[in-house]
Amino acid sequence: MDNPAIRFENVSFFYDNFPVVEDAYFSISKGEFVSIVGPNGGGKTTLLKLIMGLLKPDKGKIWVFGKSPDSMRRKIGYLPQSLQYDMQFPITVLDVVMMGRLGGRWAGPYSKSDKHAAMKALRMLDIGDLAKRSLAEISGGQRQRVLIARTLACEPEILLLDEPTANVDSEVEKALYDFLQKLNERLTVVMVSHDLGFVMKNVKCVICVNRKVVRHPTSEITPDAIESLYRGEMRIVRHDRLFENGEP
Amino acid sequence: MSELISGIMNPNMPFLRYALAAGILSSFAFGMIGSFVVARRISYIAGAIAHSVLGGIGAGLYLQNKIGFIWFDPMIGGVIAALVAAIVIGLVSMYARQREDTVIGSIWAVGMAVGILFIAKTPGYVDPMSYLFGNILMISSSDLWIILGLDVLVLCLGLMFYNKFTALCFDEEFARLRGIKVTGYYLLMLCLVAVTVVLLVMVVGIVMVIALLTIPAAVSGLFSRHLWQMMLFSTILCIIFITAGIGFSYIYDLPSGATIILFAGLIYILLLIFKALYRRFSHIGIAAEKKGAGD
Repeated sequence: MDNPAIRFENVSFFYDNFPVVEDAYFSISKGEFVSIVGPNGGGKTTLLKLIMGLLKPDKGKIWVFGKSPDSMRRKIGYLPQSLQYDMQFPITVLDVVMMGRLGGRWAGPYSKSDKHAAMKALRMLDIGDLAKRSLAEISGGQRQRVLIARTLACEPEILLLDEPTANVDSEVEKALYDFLQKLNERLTVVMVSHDLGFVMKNVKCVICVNRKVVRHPTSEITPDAIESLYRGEMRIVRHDRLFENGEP
Repeated sequence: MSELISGIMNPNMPFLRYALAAGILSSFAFGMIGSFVVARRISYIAGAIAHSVLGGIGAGLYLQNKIGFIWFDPMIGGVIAALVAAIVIGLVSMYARQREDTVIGSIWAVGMAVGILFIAKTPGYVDPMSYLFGNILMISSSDLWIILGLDVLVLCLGLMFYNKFTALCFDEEFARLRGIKVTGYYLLMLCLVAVTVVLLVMVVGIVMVIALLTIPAAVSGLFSRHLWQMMLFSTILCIIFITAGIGFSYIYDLPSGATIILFAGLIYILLLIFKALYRRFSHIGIAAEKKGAGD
């Protein structure tokens, strides 16, 4: 039998006796594109960290490709939410992406094939020409792509993205979504997102997290479901119609 | 200048040659480890390790002169104290981050207190000044071998794990996700910092360790694109600072440690001013060009 990419069985996690994730029971198959939605503090990032084995569940069990998250960690590419790096750090774009190749050898420099894989990842994101630039000199959107390239240089089988569009403008966002769709042809993609518009249009399945974790097909998502998830704290704006010439 | 060269050539003054050799040899470790320290922003940890070295030196002096362990060089005590301080600080910063600054401050002060008490109880007169403010001109030929050994150790380990240390400094969480045993490598890096700090204590003294560890790296940071470049430039700068410092202190009869640090500090400030001015004027230049093109 084929193992699912990710499987949670009755998983609970507590921060100081406060439940953050309760009784999560779901699985994500290989090759799926799943979005995780939910309010701030609802446990989305905790869920990602559980998948990576950075946090251990207090109850229940997690499998990644049928094995423990710790042993499968190198199969996972993770793009963290915050992009707060020390801009004084003397490092080039290629140096950063090469970090995706860490751990291949126990000591010594990166190999030629590591460099090759890093350049390939940079070219996939159309920023091969930035390789020799210093990380401090490039724009925020470019930096975001550099970090995605670093994640791809790991040659992951599962891609976990924590709000990848939080700090970029809408043009970059659009390009990123297209790129993720393309990647999804060979990778399992799990993305935390606040952008329900995108989610409804492009993702077949969402996992709603607000302490309870519930998996829905997007077709089932109704205003009621969203309201109960966000506890009525948000307004629902439909923006799945296309506007031509900027006229609504 | 000719006075300095004739001093170096003078067979009756081996201490000048030893001082220069010690300074140049240890500059390689200073440049490499200083760059890691500046990149990871842990110069206060280096400060605490430096001050705890006095505890080890004091214990060494006491064992040597009171207990009679003639073989126990105070610097062996210094290395042990530095390593213990590094491991304690490393474990605290990994497992109880919120207590980190308190622990660092305590180790800083307790290390000094232990050293002063040991020195007070050591028979005979010991001048703590030479440990606090350093005297590179007092380095002996046997010290030189210790320096060479520690230097080679630091450089070999630093080069072997360069990629892992760099990732650790830049993005610890990412390194952990790639399966790197972050705690172990961080402790190893702090141990290398500890060994380098002991070398620095021999060259400039406890109080001025942080300056010679960070100023060359900070200066090179102004024009480096890679961490290894920063290390290379810092090493060259360290050699220049130490050589010039020894030269000035010999010619004008000044304390060597303080002269080295003052020279390094002056160069750093001058370069900062130069860079600020350069930015300002190149900015105005570009703006004027743009305006010209627009007209």
